[in-house]
Amino acid sequence: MSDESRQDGDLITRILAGESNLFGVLVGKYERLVFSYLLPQVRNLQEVEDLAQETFLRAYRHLAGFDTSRKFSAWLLAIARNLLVDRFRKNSQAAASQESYQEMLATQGPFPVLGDPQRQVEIQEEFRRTFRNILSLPEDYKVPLMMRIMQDLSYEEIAENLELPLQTVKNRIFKARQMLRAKRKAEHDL
Amino acid sequence: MTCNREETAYAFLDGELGPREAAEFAQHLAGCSECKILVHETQERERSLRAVLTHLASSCQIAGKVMRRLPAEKILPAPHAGRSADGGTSILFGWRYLVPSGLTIVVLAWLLSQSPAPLPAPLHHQAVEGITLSALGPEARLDGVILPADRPQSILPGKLLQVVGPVAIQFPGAREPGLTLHGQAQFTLAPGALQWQSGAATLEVAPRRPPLTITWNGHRLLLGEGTLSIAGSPAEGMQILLKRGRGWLRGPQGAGELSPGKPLTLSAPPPSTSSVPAPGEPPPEPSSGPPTIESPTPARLMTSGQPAALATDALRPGNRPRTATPTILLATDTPASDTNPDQVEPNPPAVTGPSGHPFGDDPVVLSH
Repeated sequence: MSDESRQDGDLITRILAGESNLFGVLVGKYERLVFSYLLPQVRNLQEVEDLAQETFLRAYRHLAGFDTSRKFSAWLLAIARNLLVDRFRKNSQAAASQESYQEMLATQGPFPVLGDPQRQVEIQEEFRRTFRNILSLPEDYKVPLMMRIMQDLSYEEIAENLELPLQTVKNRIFKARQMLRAKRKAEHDL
Repeated sequence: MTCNREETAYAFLDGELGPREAAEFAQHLAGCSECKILVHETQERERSLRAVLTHLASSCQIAGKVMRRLPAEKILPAPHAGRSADGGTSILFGWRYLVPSGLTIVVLAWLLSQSPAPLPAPLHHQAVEGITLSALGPEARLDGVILPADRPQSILPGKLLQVVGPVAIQFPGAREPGLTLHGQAQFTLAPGALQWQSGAATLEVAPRRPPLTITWNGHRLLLGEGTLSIAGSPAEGMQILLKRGRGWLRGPQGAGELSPGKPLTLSAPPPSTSSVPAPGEPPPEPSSGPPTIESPTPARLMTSGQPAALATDALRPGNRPRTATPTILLATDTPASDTNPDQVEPNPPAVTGPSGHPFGDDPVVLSH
């Protein structure tokens, strides 16, 4: 068992013993992981937020059933995956709810990234192009890529979290980047 | 793309290559414009994506919202075999619990809207001796985890940290953060002291006495106040550039004051004779344990006309360690055999000689 799993296991034991405030440590630790998992699969920022909250709340409710020999982050993502499935099942007209991020892409900003205003404009423009292209990738490809980019996770960590073979993760990230390059090239050629 | 090393380029960018492969590819990169452009463009594209999405994730404040809703929730008994929160027919799972808890949420949501509940008190990983680390921007991370803007993290002295800035570090007894870090780096902290491992960062030190101590590979750097760029790792050597302020460096061969604006390269100690690989053999990989320093080899202080970050380094991934790197012992003052590699040397008393140097009256041999 890794140190991280042991730390999570200790926290969970204490939460189950009544220190519910400690659940905030787990949420703080994994909120961005869950966000980066949901974001490319749900085309509405509000829905990402709602599903992320529900993921953690469901995890909290069922914490007593968590198998501590398992990786907590992988368990969280499995819950998020089920919530996504539920969402699509409940909403057979999923397409209707799939508002795109267009509004966000159009209005979001300025981003507090760097002080230089010119640089901010460049970053925003680059972001819009790249994010739009990522959203158009197949689901299986964009999720590991987003986890790599947003979380800076190693291929092995991504494989563990998504419960996929390492080689599969490597291939998908490579293919996703190849596709992004091809899309970018096509944009340039237009 | 005519070069067939695209996959290797991405693995290099992701820090997934071993030390030997990475060195080999870095050499290839220097001469392959296609790979250089590929790595640079990918890095730029993903950096902008990360910056914006990190900002978006932070703005959602998921942790705060979840914790506000938590009092309305209860932990359910462990389910029977075959039923878990993440498996099976999830659409049916937990209906009998979800309905009542949903009603509770509605009622409590109304109550909360009347009287907003305060967030739980800041939570720290561990009670420590008072070193805290705070995010100064949405990109700030500690050990790969985003740092909440409003929650300073307590730091355990001597624990190896992987930090992505901008962050502020506050030492015990100080009323405000005395050190700001931009960039990314691996290091350990002790009161008033930082032991550098690897990375590339800019450190801003607020006026302090005694000065901040930065140690690396037998070198000790004191910064009373100022801005310092620092980049490198045990394997690569270290480049430092004092941009402003005052700093003093003491290495195995002497001590002296740093000249602002002049870069300085501190080379990694050469491998011992027995560890030099024969021609054709791979270079030795970094060991997971502390290195044995049989006789402290004087590190070479070299004049460098190059900027702190070399051209190829600027294209490299963020020195994210995939293998454990050895903690370099402070060989300047303490015999290696007596030094615990897990401990950071605490801030030493400010020894000031008549010359005004914090190191006393050592002859100044430092040259840029």
